Amino acid sequence: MNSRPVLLMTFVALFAMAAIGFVQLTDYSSRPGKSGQAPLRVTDVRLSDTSLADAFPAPGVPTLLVFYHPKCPCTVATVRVLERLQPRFRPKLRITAVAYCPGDQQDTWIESRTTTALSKLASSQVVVDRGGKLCKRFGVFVSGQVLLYDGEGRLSFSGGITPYRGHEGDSPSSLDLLKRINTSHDDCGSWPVFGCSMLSDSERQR
Amino acid sequence: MTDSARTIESTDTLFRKRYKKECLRVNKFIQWLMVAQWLTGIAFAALYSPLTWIGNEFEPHVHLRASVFIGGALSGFAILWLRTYPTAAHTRHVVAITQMLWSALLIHLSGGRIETHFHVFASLAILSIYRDWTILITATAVIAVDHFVRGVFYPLSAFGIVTESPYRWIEHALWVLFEVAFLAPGCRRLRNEFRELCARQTEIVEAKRSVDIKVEERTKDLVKANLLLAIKTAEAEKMALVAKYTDNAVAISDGDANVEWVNEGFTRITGFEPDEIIGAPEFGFQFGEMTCPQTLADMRGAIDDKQAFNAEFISYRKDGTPYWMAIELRPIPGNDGTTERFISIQSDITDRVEAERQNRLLQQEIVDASRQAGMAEVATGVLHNVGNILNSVNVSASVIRKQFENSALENLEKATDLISEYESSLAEFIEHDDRGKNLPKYLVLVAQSLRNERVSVGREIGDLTKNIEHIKEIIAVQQTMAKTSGLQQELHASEIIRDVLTANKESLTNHAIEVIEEVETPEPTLISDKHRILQILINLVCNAKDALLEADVPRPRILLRTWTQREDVYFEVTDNGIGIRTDDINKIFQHGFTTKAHGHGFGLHSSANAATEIGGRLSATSEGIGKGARFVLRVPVDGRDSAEKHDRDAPSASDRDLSPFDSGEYA
Repeated sequence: MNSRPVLLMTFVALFAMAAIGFVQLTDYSSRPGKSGQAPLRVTDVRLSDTSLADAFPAPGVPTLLVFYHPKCPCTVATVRVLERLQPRFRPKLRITAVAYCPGDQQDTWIESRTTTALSKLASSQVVVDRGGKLCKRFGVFVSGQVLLYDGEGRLSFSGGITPYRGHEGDSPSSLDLLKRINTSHDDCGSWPVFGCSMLSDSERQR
Repeated sequence: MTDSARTIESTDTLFRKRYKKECLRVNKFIQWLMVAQWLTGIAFAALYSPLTWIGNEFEPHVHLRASVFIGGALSGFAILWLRTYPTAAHTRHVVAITQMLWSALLIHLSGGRIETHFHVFASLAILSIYRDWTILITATAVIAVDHFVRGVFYPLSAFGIVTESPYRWIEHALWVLFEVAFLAPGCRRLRNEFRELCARQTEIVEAKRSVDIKVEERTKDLVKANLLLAIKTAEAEKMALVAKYTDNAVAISDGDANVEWVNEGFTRITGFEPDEIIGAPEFGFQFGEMTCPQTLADMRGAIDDKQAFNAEFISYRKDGTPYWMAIELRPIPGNDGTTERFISIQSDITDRVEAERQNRLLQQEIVDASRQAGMAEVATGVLHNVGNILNSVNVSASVIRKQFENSALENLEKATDLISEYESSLAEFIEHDDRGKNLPKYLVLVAQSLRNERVSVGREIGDLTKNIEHIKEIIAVQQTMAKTSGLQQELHASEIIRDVLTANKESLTNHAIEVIEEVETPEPTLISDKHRILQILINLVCNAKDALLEADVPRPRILLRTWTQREDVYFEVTDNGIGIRTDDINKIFQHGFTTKAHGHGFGLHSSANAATEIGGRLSATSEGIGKGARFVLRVPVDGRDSAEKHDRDAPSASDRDLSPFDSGEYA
């Protein structure tokens, strides 16, 4: 049997597999997750029955809420971006990482390298969002979304801070976040979020 | 093709060959690298992003599938291409593209870690192993396109978002280009150095080849030289054997003839040992009173003149005994052309000289004996030939005597007596007497008879005169036979035959022998010695007559025939007489052999000699007893050259004991 057509077909198959794979991977990486509208003022959200009851109000101190899925590998990039941005924050900033935890899981479920890294950030605390209650109240459905509320409780930034899904590095959104942390803005910066879905379909419907 | 062009071509060939080999080596490394990257990619995905989560649910992460399938496809594609086109230039570009895509994939799989970006620069360094700077450009282009498509083009076109700076991909590309800017010249330099290495190796190979050729040529020269040396050595050994075992005495002297070396033959001949003769002057020769002073002086002159010299003279042995010596002196020139040495070869020729002396004495004795024998043979020949002629002379004398005995002169005397008786009355006597009446008639008859008698006697006297003249010629010829040739004259064959028959006429007539003459037309002519030919032919006719008489055949017949064939005239004498026995035919020309009762065995021998002397040949054939015999004399048409040649080159026929084959032919 002539092996040349077989060889040619093999080349074409491998090339096609690689090309399609790269296209799918690119699409996966740059496809933003679905996100809801975050409350423009933190006071608009009922927090008394949540783990954030002690976080607000905090007059004069901006608060950065980092919603994340502890098991989401993509969020590691968000944490690394924060690690690199934090030294450049000029005012005092309180970072609160909201760790999604399914309702039927123990709090230890949130233990992951993402949680560990977030807890190591300066002025940070990790709160457990059992059942995704806070996520739903803040309209966050994608892991890695951050919300910045200024000292007056106004929403200043909403979105992801990575350029792609699970891809660390400088990006316009991260720079925008830095800028809004360091200087006050009247408007709110909105950016797409790249990451795993925070809630399952059943939790989202509840 | 010039050497330079050939060197360049050889360098190119070697460079291509070694570069291919180098590429194959790198290809192996790249193949292992592809496998390692695939496994690393899977490990990255498994470590960093094994699962993707939705709330409390999870599934394998896209990165994990991507590492397996995309990584497998990339590595598989590259490995297959490397194995299919291992040395092609495009293979290196395929490797560059694949490697850059692997960098992109690994960056993806590692979550975009900054550290993983170093894979790009490491890959560029790996690619530079190929020493092909063009693939670095390809790699740079791939990185730039990848960043542009994934960072700008796709998000913008697919989702309408810009997630990073639109110019970020340019920055990345520039950084890659920055490294390429250093790697590419390095590649180029390495490639040139590699080529230079090949050039140096080619030069070394060429030099080695040149040296090998020279070594080979030199080896051939050495082999030739060794062979020549072996030949010369063998020759020298043979020469040494010659010098050692020759009976000649060999001496080598300096330019002044002082002995430097002698062989064993020298000792054997002279009795002097080498240590006794080394340094002796004049080749160590011992001279004495028996030595020829003139020869000695000549030899010394040759030594002074450095000339070659050959001589025979008497020298003396160590014990003082003289001996004859043949000496051969040869000067041996040196490098500067002057005579550096002499070589003398001496041989003891005493025995030879003595033998020559004895030989000369013997020769003289033989000459004397030969002269005696020759004289006897000449005498025998003269007697034989003259005897043959004397037969005719005797016959003529007998005829004349008979003629005189029966002469009419007696009748004339009777008539004159009668006239004297009747002198006074002669007229009356003639007129009246019956006897007187018949006297005139009687006188007429007597006169007629006397006239006839005179004619007959005159003829016989003529024959007698011819025969006597022939005898004179025979004697004259025999007297000069040893050294002088006969008179060379133009002869006609018919005249010769007539003379032969005249010489034998009476005997042939008396015995009623029929003679048949056959002369070819035109008549053969020749220039030769008439009397030699007559001597031969008369002898042959005489023998034929004797053979006829011995056979007593009813019709005795002798055929005399002559003809010309080529440059020779042939005379044939054939008889139907007693013939010759086959056994005797080979002997009849030998001296002393005869078949006649009263023969001497000299006639045919001398005839054969005579034939040879005139440049001809006498041959005999016979079918046996009672069958007759045939003798043929061949004589050259112009016998002058052959006669002169015979006189000049050959000994006298009378001095030779001719063998049959020298004198004739036989059937």
